[in-house]
Amino acid sequence: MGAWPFLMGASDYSDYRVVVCPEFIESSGRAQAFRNLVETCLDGEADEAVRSRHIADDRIGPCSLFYRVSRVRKTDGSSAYDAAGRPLLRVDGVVVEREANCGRLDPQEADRLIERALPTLDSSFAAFSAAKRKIPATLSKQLVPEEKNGGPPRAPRPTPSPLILFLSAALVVSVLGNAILLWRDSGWAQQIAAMNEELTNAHKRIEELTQRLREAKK
Amino acid sequence: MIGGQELFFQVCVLGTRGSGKTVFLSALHNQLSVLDSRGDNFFVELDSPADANLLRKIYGQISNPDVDWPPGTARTKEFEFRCLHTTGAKTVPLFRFLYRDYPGGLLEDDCDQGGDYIREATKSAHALLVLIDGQKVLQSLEGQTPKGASLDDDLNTLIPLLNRGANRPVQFLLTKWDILHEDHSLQAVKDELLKNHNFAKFVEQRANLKLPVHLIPVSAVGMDFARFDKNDMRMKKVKGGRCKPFNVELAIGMTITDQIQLLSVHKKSNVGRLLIWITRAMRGSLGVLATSLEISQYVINLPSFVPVEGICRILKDASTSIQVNEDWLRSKIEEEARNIRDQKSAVQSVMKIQALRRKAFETHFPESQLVVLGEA
Repeated sequence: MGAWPFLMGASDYSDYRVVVCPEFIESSGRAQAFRNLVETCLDGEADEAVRSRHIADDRIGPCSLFYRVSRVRKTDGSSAYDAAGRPLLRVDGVVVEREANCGRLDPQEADRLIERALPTLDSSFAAFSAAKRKIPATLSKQLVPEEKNGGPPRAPRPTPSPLILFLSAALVVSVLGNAILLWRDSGWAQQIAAMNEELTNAHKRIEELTQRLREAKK
Repeated sequence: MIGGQELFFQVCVLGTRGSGKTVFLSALHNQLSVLDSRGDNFFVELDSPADANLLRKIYGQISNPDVDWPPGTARTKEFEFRCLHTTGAKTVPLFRFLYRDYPGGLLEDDCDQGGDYIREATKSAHALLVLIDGQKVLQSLEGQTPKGASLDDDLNTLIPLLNRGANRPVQFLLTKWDILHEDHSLQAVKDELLKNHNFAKFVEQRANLKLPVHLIPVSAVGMDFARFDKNDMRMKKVKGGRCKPFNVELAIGMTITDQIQLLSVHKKSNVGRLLIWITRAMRGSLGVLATSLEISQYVINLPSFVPVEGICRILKDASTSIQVNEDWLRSKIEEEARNIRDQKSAVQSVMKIQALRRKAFETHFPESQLVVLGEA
């Protein structure tokens, strides 16, 4: 499943236009049809939610667009406006090939792909925003699949030892049990005071056990 | 339908980015969505409820002083308005008009599909409305450098497009009049526009052709709703402001009366090029008839019951013999509205009302007439 970044936006000097267009769409001669479709993306709210559109086109094959509409931000984080006072928006997204019988991408996965495309999209948008004259759309290449990315391997999450897990569980059960008993036997203030005490004791016991465990490991 | 035909009027609105095309359209829709018996005496409906909702949503965002202006338009869209009159318990169709909305950036796209769209729209239009961005006029009058295109840039983009619509009625709408009217007169604006070589040449050319041209000050939000922030160089809403559109619907009335006036003056010479009323067959009922009518779409004459001479008399006489003011206008409109009995009389009266409103406007803003009909 291939994914290509795309971007549409407006600037002080230019009306809404496709700023980044997938290379394969441009070379298939369907850039205008793509633009027509991307224009409809601005109908939604600029809430940064991931949305999708689907294309069934003979020349470019079945594809899906996953995109987010957001406000253009100035360097201080505030919204950017055009001279007429209208907020400037941008549409960041990816075009994803839909292979036969391939299920649709879930929004989290699509969001991750858009995040990966952002550095490329941001640099193209910066060039577009600064240009006082019309500049041609940047042609985007397929995103390199994540596993072949060559980045450093992620450190595995540390797993707590079974002994610590068992002791923690026992303590939680004990505190809860005592709390229930207290709840049954005494008034509110007493219950809270007793629970506080129990919690303090439990905390001390955890510290003791952790200390012992460390010593044992040594 | 009047005798199986319906008057259909294509209006091409030309305006650069941010000039207010969509705001104007949604204000027009809002303004005309309810019949005003003391005003135009017709109301509009859109065939598509989704389109109507879209315009209502846009207008809702425009008129709410606590939210931002709606973002710019990104795509082209056509809205077909049906103009209707309610007489007693019956609603009768009067005419239709088509309004095309598009991103203003398309005007600068001479090479791609966007440019083709504008060329085609200009060519097939019966009347051209040109939006001049009042904000840029203000900046030009006050010697400020705008962000992006200037007034001169805009005029140099817009005026050459008018060549494609030669001999058609053209009205210039000066948008955002609310930010201009306190410090600048319409005459000052007119003088500023005439400093642009292309604009001056166009006005001269229209005068040679004896074709009327107006400069109509409009505001889609009214006089107390928005201001131009000179520090941020952008339009901002005024806290607690209320929208009260000004002169918005006048543009439609002007295009109708322009056609009628032209018919009376240019009847024998080049009426074929000047007057273009489309008649359409009942939609979807008779394919062959519809096709033949599409081929001969540029019908020269208005239906015979349209009171061409009477309308011209209103426009001519009022300026010399009577005092045109609000009271005069109101009493004349009431008089005309009383004459409405059926569909034909509704068309006649609504057209006369447009002429009355035009007369009142011309009297109030004499400097709006860039070229008076028949002036050489």
